[in-house]
Amino acid sequence: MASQTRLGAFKILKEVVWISLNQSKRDHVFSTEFCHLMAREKINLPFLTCMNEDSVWGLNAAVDSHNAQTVFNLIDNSFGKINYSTAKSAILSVFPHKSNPEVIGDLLEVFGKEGIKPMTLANSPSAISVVLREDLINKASAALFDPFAFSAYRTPSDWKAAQKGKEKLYKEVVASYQEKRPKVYALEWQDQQDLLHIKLNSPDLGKMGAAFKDFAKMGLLLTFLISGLSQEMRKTDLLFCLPQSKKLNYADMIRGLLPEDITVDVSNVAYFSMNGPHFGDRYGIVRDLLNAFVSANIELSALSCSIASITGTLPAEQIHSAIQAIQGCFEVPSVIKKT
Amino acid sequence: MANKYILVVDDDPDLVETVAMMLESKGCEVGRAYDGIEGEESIKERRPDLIILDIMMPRKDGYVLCSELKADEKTSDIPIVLLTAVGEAVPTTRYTHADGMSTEADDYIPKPIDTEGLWEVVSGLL
Repeated sequence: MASQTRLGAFKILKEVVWISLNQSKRDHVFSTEFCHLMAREKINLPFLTCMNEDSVWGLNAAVDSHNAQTVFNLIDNSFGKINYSTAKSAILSVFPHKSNPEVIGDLLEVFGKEGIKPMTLANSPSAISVVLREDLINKASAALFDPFAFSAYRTPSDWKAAQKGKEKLYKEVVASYQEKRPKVYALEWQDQQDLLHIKLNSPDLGKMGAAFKDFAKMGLLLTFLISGLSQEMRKTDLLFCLPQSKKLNYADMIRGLLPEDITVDVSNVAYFSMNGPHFGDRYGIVRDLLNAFVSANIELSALSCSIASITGTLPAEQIHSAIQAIQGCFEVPSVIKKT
Repeated sequence: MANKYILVVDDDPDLVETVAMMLESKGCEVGRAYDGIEGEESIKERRPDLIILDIMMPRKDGYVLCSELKADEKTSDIPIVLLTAVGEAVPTTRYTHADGMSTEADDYIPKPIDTEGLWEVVSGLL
């Protein structure tokens, strides 16, 4: 067996429904409207990614399964004819990744080897969360023990034994927080980042594992990561941030590892991450953030909500306006610039 | 504070990393656990010099784990700092803090965590 990467733990949130929405026309407030609808109906979003291509948004969300029909109705009634895909799903999160690209590299490789196709994924400051079809979750959790060693459990059986009673309490905790002006535990940002947007054939996602492992060998830190179904049939969009480099041509490196028909776009961005009590899933938090960004004319390029954090990327020159907008609607005791 | 080993126990892995980074920047070694039972197991494997413990956690909450550790003569002398979130109350047992809240823990820190405040409390107990 190859050497294993040591991680702390992983958790699975079951009984969610994944929804992938792709706009067919430009509408720069589409994501904001979707999150507004969810907040109005008090529907938590345990997972959300938004990616913006010239004001055409692609969204991936997960909602508790008992809310799924309500969400479908809201989408049908509010957005008219819009294509969306759904599936009964579960969210698997591994942590801590410590911004090491090797973790997502290992994950994509093992899932590729096992024929497990992530519907969407995202990272938070500590965790990588993957939305998988519900019937694949046992296979996926068992597969984790190949590339990873977990300090909390040595085998899949140890992990199963450790899970009793977790999910119910998780949901109760979410419902217990409703302060008027939410407190941000940590607001971090970093500039001089390259956002790589790769469009690849969905079955090739596993091949990106090797690229991430190469980035890890170079000591690069991965600060942002999302993926989801593309507007183009059978394609996946993968977006991630690496430090800007004059020496390395990331696009060429990736093209060297993947089939020729991929596209790679690179843009200069800054990223921010805000962690707070269940910020990754509580209804209303991401709605308030997106409203603040719309009011401040911030052009968000991508966003994710997972675990307890919201992470986003935007044009580098807008980061200070974005921080001000966040401070305008949340209580933010400190802002940390990462280098 | 080099060679001091601090265990952080919280079910929010993002917060665990934030606290761990703060402590590692001060030269501490940091262990991580993601609920009360994992925390308990981790303490059995390696005795920490100090424990930072969230209150609301699955399986075994911070109050219960704190009480158990303080009742056990093998672990009763390990300093424990509780993390308290918005609106959470600290129940009355033995320790009384300046503002009247009480707990068996040695101190508590409200969330959001202020870096200097955290370090002041931790360094004072090590």
